[in-house]
This record gives sequence, structure tokens and C-alpha cells, in this order.
Amino acid sequence: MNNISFGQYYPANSLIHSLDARFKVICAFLYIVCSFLCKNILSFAALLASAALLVAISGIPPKILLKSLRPIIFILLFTVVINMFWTSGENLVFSWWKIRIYYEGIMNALFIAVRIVVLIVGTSIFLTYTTTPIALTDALESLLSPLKVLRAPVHEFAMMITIALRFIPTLTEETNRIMAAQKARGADFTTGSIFKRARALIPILVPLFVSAFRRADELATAMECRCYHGGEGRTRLNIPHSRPRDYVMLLLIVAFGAGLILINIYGIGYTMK
Amino acid sequence: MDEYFIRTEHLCCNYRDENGREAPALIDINLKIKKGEYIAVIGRNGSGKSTLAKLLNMILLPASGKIYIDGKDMTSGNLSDDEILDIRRRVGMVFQNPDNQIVATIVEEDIAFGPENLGIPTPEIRRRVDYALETVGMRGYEKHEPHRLSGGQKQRIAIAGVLAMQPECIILDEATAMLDPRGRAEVINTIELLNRERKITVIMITHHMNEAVRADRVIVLSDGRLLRDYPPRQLFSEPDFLRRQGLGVPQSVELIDELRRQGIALEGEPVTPEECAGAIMKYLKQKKAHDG
Repeated sequence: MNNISFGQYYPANSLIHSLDARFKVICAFLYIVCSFLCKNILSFAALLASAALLVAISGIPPKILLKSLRPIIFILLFTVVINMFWTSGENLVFSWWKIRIYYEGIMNALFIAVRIVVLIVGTSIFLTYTTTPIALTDALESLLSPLKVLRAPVHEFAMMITIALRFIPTLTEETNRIMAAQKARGADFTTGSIFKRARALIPILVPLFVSAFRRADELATAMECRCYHGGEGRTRLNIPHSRPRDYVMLLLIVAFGAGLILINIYGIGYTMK
Repeated sequence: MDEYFIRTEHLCCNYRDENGREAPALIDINLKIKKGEYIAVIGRNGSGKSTLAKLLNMILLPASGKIYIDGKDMTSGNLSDDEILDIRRRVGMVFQNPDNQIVATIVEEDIAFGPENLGIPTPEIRRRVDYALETVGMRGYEKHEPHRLSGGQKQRIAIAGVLAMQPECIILDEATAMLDPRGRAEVINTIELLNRERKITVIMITHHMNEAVRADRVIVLSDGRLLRDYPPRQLFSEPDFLRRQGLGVPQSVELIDELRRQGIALEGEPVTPEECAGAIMKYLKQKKAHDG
């Protein structure tokens, strides 16, 4: 039970792992923008190549990355099919009964499939796989801090996420303990219809919630005892600091986006609308 | 300046029971605790031990009576927020369940939580974290995840978190109750070191008589009243009173008691296991010399 890992973080010593989390959040955002700048076969090829390059330097085994794509396979197929059959164009490739497939439809389906895959792979490389959730939370707090002027509870939000992350292993352990205790009293979680099994979870959830509230109460007291009084006047042990490599990565992505725009202007072949 | 670090006068506190009625939790508590003292507080469940602890760092407010911390009246009602924070810094608390008082997912970040709240500059926080980890003997665990540590280690991290605020007094609210004997020994050794070498005032709320024996003074609470405030030697010389309170006596005292009842004349008033062992050794040597 001690081996719970938070999220999908994959510990390694790559260049991307070593980047400042704040820059990674910005990079991920810019990379999404890049993927939407692509309009023709050349730019999509460049996008695919850039994703492959990112995978290579992140040191994450492609096998693990493919696993992260599994939940979106259905969405992927759905969009591909929709685009393939419902795009009308000028060059009819195939026609049977009421089904007409155009060249434009095939290209659109292909482009969108590439875009979705690159979107998922790109963001998960920049964010979930190479950044610990806690670093990500701190980065978001730091990036969103200008919103404090508008009285947005940025610090409180980050603190909530931190505490939630902190209590995931504790509550998982507790769930297992309660389940074992209920099993010892003859509870059955594995047989019966889905409704029956869902109902069997109630005797787990009730004690879990009761204990979570008790824990929350004790934690609040403990935090008060350690002089917690909100984010005002708070200093930090670990202040994030940017290094030249963070700026280089940022510049590379901006340059990549500019390149994509150029490719669009002097594009060849089919251009997506 | 006050001679006593903590002083209470006719302290009363109420709590609301499940029917919404006010019931007294503490009645007329008069306490005097000097700087650097090591105090144990014992009493059954519901005797008011935790309430007393929470009054001393202003988590709870008293219904009536006075609390003076370092000569300053805490109950005057016109303390600023900064003054309250300063009291919480000076009087640190460690609770029973280590899982419910660790805030961060990395050991060093958790220890830094207190100083961060106090707005200490970053290099100074780093120094304090290192110092606190050193003191509790957890150097090298900076980057560890607290949930992978043992109970005793987690509790020492909690102590380090309090230490990083540079307190003058640490209150342990049954901090050893959930630990195994080894974890308990780790925590007790750490606390005694802090008391002895850093002159930190320690108030130890406990169920274990073997822990109470080691204090300078033992305070007995029962139904919100302070019944005894004695050095352990004096307190444990009336085992019947303690048994009546449902508290029991340390095993060492029990043993001496039983031996005496069997007609074995031991010298002195041994209380701790070490003293007890010494007294028995002395008796055996004398007996040997006498017989031989």
C-alpha cells in the first residue's frame, strides 16, 4: 500500500524533467496553440515530428505514453468517422448507396487524428509525466498569482489541492482497512448485479466520510497551531527559479509556432479549413 | 518579567455536549509552570487534558479565569492577530495522530510550513529546517514522502515542524498514544533531549505512567479539576489514589510495592525503572553479603 504514486508522474532525469514547472505549463499551452496552427500536410508532418522529438528527449518509454492514449481511443475513432463521412468536398473517392467519401474528408480525418494524439502526448509530456503534482500546483499558484488582485482565492485553491494530494495515500489506506473490516463481517463486494455492488459500497463510504471529516477537523487545528493564517505574508522554502534552459525551451516552441504559420502561408497540397 | 512561563488563575472552560448544553470541561485550574520544566499531565478520557492544552496556545478561549504566558495576560480580549500568532509560535503543539497534522507531501516542506506562515526569509527557513531535522535525528529524510515513514518517524517530523518555529514550550497531546513501543521510545528520547539541552518547556499529556515517571512534575486531572500537582516520587507513593482515579501506577512502582508487601525491605523511594533496578541490586548485594 506504500507504493501509490500520485498521478502519472514518471521519475527520470531528462531535460524536460529538469525544466521549471511554470515554464512547462506555458510550454504546454503554447504547444496546444501550435497544434491548432497546423493546416496542411507539411505542417502536420512537422507537428508529428516535433511530438516524436519530445518523446525522445523526455525519456518516457513510448509504451507508457500509448497507454495514456487508451482512454481517448473512442473519441478518436468517433471524430475520425464523423469527419470522414460528413465532410463534403470536390474530389469524390468512394460512393456507395448514401455514403460518399471525399478526398477532403479523408485528409480532415487524418489531420484531426494527428492533432488529438499530439495534443494528448504533448501535454502529458510537459505536465503529467515529467512534473510532480505538487510542483504543478505550485506552478499554477505562481502563474495565477496576478489574479489575487481580483480577489481570486489562488493561494487557498493551491492549498486545497496540496492537502488533497497529501491525503490520497492516507485515505486509500483507510479505505482498504474499512473494506477488510467489512469483509471480515461478511460483506460481499464482488458478486451480484452492478446495483447490488454499488450498494455494497455504502458501508465503506459512510465510515470513510466520517473519518475524513474528523481528519479535516484535526488538520485544521494542527494548521492553526502552526500559525497558518492564509496566504498573506507567507514565504516559501523552495522558491522556483528559472534557468537559461527554460527560456530556450520557450523560445523553441514560439519559433516552432512561427514556422508553422510560415508553412501555412507557403503551403502545398490540401489545406484544412 | 514573570518567574513563570505559564501561569493560570481560576481557569474555567466549558464545552457544549451533544444535547447542546454547556458543561464544564475545566474548573478552577491554577497552574504555575517555570521555563524549562518538564511536566506530565495525566487523567482519564474526558478529564480535560486536551482542553487545557488547547487553552494554552489560544486555540480555545476560557470561559473565565486568567492565562499568563511569559507574564502577558492572554485573556484580556484585546490581543492583535500578530500577538496570537506569536503565542502559537512560542507554544507549539504535537497531536496524537501523525497523519492528521502533516500538511505537505514532502518532509522538508512540511517542516517549513510553520516558518513559511510566519513569513521567515527563505535562507533562514532552510537553516531552520536543517537544524530541526538534525535535532530530531531525521537528517537525510528531507525529500522523503511522509506517508512512507513509520509512526515514530512521522511524529518526529511533527516535532521538527514545531521546532522550526523556535518555540519555548512544546505541548504533546498524547503524541505517543498511537505508536508502537519503539516509536514511543524515539519520541520520548527526542523530547527529553529538547528539554535537557535546548531548555524547552515540555508539557506531556499521556496515558502511559512509564512516561509520566520521567517528568519533573505530574499533574492529575479528573472531571475538569486539578487533583494533584506533585513530583512523580510523591505522586507514586500513593498508588491507591491513582488506582481510584483509574490511572494505575508505573510497572516499576508496582513491582516495588509488591516486593515490599512480600516483606522485602528495599531502600529509598525508587520510581523510574533504573532506580528500581538499582534498589533491587543493592538489596540483593546486601543479602548476599549478609548470607555469605
